[in-house]
Amino acid sequence: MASSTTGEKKILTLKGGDNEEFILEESLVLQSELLKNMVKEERVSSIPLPSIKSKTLVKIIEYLKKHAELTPSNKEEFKNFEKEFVNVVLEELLDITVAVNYLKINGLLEFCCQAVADRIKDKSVEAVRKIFRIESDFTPEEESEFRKETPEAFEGDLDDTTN
Amino acid sequence: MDTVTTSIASSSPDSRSPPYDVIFEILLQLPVMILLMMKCVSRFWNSIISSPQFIKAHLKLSTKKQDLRLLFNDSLGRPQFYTCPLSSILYQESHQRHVKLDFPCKSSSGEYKIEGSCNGLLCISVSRRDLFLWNPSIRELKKLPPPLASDNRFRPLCMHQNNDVLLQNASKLS
Repeated sequence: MASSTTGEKKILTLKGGDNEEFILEESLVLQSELLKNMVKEERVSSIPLPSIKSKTLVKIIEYLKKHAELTPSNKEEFKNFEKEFVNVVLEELLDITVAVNYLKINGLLEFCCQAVADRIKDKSVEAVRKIFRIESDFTPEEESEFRKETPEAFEGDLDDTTN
Repeated sequence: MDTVTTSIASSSPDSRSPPYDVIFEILLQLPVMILLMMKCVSRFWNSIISSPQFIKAHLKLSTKKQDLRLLFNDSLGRPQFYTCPLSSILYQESHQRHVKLDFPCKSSSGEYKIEGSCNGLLCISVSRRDLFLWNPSIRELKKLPPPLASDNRFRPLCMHQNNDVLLQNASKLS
């Protein structure tokens, strides 16, 4: 078990949904409110995160590392990194956003939500339902009532793809 | 050092459908026109978008983003209003981006006037008699109870935290 300390740096193990282990410096995870509380109050050294896919965890750890290195001189580089960070298929971006919300990484949450919003704003209602895995619980009559009330909201070419 | 392993599986999110907080945060980033469409995604989404907490948070965020819009009447008396982004006027963008808004309550005769506005709400008088509160972003209209004297005109002064609107009697101003 990775409860050791190397010099002054504490090491922590995160376990992804598929039991893959990620060993990293404890200082990095302090950017997550959830993990910070666990580390500080319960002195945990290994944290299982069964609901987060390892692929998602890899991305988040990558962000935490980059964010920790952020200085006024590499701001531009970080911005480019952020842009690339959310440039993934929508399903993956949603997984990341849900995980970021769960881990309570505040600055990143708003950024991810904005990225999701940008990606869905030109989508049709049907596409949005598919993306969020929602079954419509409106009757067709109720739905046409929405369209009648605000026809301008349904105008234009809406995108039916889910990527 | 002791090794403590805590399981936090019980409250973990189901990655297949994002939880309420995430949906709330994503919707918060969308412009009003898109939200009107998103209302018919499901009853759950509709209830989030229509909730007072969401409306307040959305107003706060769009004020912060300075996504300001100007609303005007093309000529006094007609129930037709236009809106355009303030930036397109300030920076004199060549293409016109104004959108026509139809006032939802029309009578053949009547003079329509914007009496005042606050927090994106407009107070409109019709024929200097009937008073309406109108939220043009969501096309919602409420008729206000008639003032005590028929020739009084009121305009919204400010909104309280609980979203009450304080009206000021404009005829008593001078």
